[in-house]
Amino acid sequence: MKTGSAKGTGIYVCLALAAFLWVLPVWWTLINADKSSSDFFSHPFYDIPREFDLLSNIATAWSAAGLGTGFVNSLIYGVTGAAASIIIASLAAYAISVLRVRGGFIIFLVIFSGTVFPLQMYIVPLFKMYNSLGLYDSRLGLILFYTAISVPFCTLVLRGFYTTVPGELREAALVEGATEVRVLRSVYAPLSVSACLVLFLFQFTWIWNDLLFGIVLTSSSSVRPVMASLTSLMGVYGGSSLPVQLAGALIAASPMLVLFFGFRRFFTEGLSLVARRG
Amino acid sequence: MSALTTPVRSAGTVFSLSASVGNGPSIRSRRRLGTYLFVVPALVFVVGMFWYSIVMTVWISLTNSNGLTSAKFVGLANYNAMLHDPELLTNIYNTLIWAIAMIILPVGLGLLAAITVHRRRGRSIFQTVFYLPYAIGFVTTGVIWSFLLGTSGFPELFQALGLRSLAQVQWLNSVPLNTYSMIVASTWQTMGVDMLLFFVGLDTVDRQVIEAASLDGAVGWRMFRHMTWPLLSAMTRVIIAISIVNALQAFNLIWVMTQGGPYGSSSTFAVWTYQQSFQYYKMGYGAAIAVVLTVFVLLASVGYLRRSLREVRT
Repeated sequence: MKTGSAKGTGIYVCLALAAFLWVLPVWWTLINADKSSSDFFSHPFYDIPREFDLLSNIATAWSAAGLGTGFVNSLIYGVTGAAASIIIASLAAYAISVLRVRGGFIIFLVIFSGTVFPLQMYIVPLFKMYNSLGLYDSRLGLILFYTAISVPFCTLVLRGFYTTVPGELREAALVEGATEVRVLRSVYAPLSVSACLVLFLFQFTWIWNDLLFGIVLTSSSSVRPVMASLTSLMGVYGGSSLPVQLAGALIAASPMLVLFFGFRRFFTEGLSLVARRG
Repeated sequence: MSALTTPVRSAGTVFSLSASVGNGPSIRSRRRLGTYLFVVPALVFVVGMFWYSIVMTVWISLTNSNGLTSAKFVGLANYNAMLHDPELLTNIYNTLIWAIAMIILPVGLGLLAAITVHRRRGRSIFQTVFYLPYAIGFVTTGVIWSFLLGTSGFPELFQALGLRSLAQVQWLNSVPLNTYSMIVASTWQTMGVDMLLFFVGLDTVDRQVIEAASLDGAVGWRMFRHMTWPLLSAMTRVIIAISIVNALQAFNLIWVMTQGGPYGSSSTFAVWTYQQSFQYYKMGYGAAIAVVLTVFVLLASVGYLRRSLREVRT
């Protein structure tokens, strides 16, 4: 900053310009989600809306193409999938890094590398398996899938985390007669709350944003997750007007925005988890 | 602390400790077997869904499975058909373009933004603005950019600005512009997350090293070339590896914006697999495409995986 204020100002101008370019699409989305369709069709998109129709567009989008149902579904999938996978992963991580089961590293590799393949490797067999097990197009089926896809990363992170917990804590509890499950629940789990919260946010976000498995494993709008519903909102058949589509996009993005602004610190922490994964 | 905990934490000591408290050998081995129960749920999920699928996809790729009639073993016929499929070249080309562009554009811009914004006043504002598109997700990004690149989007703006020729452009309907347009949309979305990852890298770089260098007169490009860039190289490799793997699998944005069209011109391997499997129900063929995609992804990430395995092991 000592190198001269002219240079500093120049950098700020460039940054402001870039930030402006980055915000523009969001701004255009916001103003066009506000427009009535007649306003949208009779005036250019960059004009300020003449009437405030955001709420009615949101209401239309919510009921069209099952977007509202998808929203609720995805909340269910995100919460249960993330929570269940954290529980399952903490059991596995505890056995691998604290109990040091024999062959633990191999078991860990099997769990961890189950999902390093491209997602396209899983779609056809899962579709067939779900059909033959009666899980196709069911909420349970999607919850099971989302749990499974989240387990490897949670195991990786929790395994690393548990090794940082001092072993004496566990031994003291064991001496007092606690079972291993009890130790995990009342010693390790409370210590890993913040790591689990980061994992929860990350897995919830992944599940919320998933489109591929939503369209592969379901067909009816009562089961579909939110992103699949959003795509059908803009589909050729039953496609809605652009303001309604954009209002739908806002609906679908809203929980992510709430999470992002509410838990920004956790997102940055989570990112460093992802980075350390490499 | 570590000197104190390390000897006690090893498994052997733990068991001898519990034995001295009075557990007989039978309890010990029962406990040992019981510990395997902890890993069973995770293994059931991962092996039952993912390892099963990986094996099955390879098998299905050797059959003429179509989801209706019972599948017959056809050997390498699907792979042979792929070699003669005119769509193969388009898909290889687009997949490569995506991979290359996603390394250069979001990663390069993310690095530039990170270095420019880092330790500058207003960092949190710029961070929020650049990260915002990532927070809203791929599908939402697809909806927004489909609108902007459609007839009632940018063409209207260019018309108003008097740029007639630009106003005529069909961004999502002409080749190869459709792929490039989607890459721009994808760059808009993912630049922010790369920037944040570089922030993590920059935060771990020893501040004193940088300050010492700047006292020695290293500024601007020289500072970057000889100090920041080498110190960031580990993070850069991770980001590039993640970007390649993600780009090779690019699906969501393309599916929302063009569905690989028109006439498959903007399709990638990931879109192609889905389309063959679930729109034309040629699941054997779709599986074969997925296998080829996997080979690409594994080749691209082999060095990265090897290093991360080594890190995990320690």
